[in-house]
Amino acid sequence: MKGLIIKDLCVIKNQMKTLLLVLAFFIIFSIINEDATFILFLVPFYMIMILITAFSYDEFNKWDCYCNSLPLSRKEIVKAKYLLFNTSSLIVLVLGILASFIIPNFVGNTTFESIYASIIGVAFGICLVISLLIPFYYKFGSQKGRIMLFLTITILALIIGIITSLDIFNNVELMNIINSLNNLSLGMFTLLLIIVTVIIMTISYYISVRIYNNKEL
Amino acid sequence: MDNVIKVNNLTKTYDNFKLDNITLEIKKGSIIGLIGENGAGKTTLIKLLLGLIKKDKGDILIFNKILNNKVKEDIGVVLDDSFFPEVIKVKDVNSIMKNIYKAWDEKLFFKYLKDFSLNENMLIKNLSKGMKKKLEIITVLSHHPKLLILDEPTSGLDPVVRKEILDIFLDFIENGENSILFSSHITSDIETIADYIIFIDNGKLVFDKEKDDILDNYGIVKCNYNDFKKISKDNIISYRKNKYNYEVLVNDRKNIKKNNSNLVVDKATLEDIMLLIVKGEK
Repeated sequence: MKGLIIKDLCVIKNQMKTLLLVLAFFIIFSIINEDATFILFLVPFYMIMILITAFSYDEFNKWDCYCNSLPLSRKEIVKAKYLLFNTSSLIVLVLGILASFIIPNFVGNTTFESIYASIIGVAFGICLVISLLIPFYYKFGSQKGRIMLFLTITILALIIGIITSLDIFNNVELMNIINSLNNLSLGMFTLLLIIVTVIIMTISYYISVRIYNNKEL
Repeated sequence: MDNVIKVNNLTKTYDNFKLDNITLEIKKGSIIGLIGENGAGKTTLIKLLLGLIKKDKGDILIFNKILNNKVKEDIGVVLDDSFFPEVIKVKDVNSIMKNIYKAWDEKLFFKYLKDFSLNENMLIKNLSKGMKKKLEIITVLSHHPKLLILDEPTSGLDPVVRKEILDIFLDFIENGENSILFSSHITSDIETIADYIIFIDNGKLVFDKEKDDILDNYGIVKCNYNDFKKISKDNIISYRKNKYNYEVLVNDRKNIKKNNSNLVVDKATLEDIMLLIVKGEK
């Protein structure tokens, strides 16, 4: 399995250089502009793009066929992808948390809490996207998988949009639940998101293993 | 002699193709050529052997075991157009494979690279087709496999590179312990190195024979209708009616020559055999 992760790192190595350049540019940009929110969303977005590209290269060179002729089980192959994706998001998260300590020192109108909250939110978002992306990739391949992913996210967004535009916010009980979420401390809130993420990731993993086990290569 | 691969009644059905009830054995220490036209089922058979696709029925044993990771440690595979993502460097193959195969031999890999003058710092996508194939074959040899399964390892390559690659394969089986299953539609390559020939046509096994047996006994007779009638039906494997003559594939060349001294009986190459069996009538 280690070999598989090294393989993916080799594939994305070149793009990482571009990423670091872009990152450097936007750090300067946000310092000049005194606005750090932009970078918080750009980096995770870029990261997901890179990981998707790794999938596309696999597909382009029919890596899956070759990979399965090596002494690796299909479960290991899927596991390696999850490890890679989740480790990358963890790195982005840690970088983000570091940033939320550092940025308020340079940018006047921000606080640690506000940046931290958006970072945690973004990280949660990434994990959601990844947990959808991998099963979709294994089911449909990288081209069709990407389209299906965007469709699903759009539909999810629409559903959430419709729900929020409905009258339910007049519903007292629901408002109480939401308010109690609001009253959670930052630490509790983080813990809650971590638990939800782990559950979603685990479900996603088992679905992917199932899909990949039945896949004809 | 021990069997390396044993396949029993193997069947796989697709919408428009069926690999039908294949039974065959591959003996240790030999090179087996798998021939057949494009779409005959060679790749399907190889994918089934490697567990890349699921069989409908039948049994496959490799080294007398059902395929698992331990068995795969001893197999080396070259697939038609499936390899590492091409954006990695040649030397990255080493860093990856040494974490995958227990028996990966780093020294041997770099020695081969040197022997075949492959630049380790090049990206795979910048290698020529022949170079890339050589890299695939070097990669497959660097974990000391006992069985090579090769799908079209020489297709699309020039004669010089093909010769080099065939020589590698001959070296590989020299110790008498190793075996190769080698599919190709370049029948001359198979004729050069194979000990046994497995011929698949339209998903069915046509024959599984020793190469020398085929080349010594099979023959081509070109004759007119009257002579054609004289050849015993038992000896005719297949024939083709051309505009001016009959082309007949026979299974006992020497005897036919003895009994019909006026007939011209030529040796049959694998290509002749393949063409007449696929295109001819029975």
